[in-house]
Amino acid sequence: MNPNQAIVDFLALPENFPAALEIAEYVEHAKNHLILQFWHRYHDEMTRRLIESNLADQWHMRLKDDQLLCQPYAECRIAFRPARADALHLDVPLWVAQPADRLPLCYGLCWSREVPETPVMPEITELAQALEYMWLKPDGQSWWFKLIRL
Amino acid sequence: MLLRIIHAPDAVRDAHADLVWAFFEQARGPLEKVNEALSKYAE
Repeated sequence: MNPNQAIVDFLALPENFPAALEIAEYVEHAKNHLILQFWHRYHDEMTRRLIESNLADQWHMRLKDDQLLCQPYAECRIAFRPARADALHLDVPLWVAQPADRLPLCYGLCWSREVPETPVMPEITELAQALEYMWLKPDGQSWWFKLIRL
Repeated sequence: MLLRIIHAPDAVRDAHADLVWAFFEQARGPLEKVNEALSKYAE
């Protein structure tokens, strides 16, 4: 017997089920609220560190509020972005793939837009060597990433 | 996973920010060179 079966049976009782449904709905709202809070807190913390390190002129934190508000679980991504970000560039994102409550957080480097292939430049070769030294894995669109397991 | 981090004690919860910040500081030098080179290439 599933050890949680007693809980399921309890919730399924006719007198309990309406309240269980209502609670489940509020739990979803609470989860979304906590996830949004997490991303905003991360954004504020990293912005604070950029300011304290005198890097706020060169790097910004990019937080897509509209995306988060619509789908807090879906492909959340907050990135360090260079202040001069008109051309193709690399961001330093923290992200989570779906479903957010099952997969670990990842960080690494990501192109600002889709590129058919990695540009060939000596600066990129140098960066790739540094990333390899840091044990970051290459991965198509994300380019290089590492999982966070706490 | 995200929810587990959110509900972890502060020290553990903030450790992810330390990890990413350490990576950012370590990679920033060569990363800025790449972004600058790409920016010049675009011009």
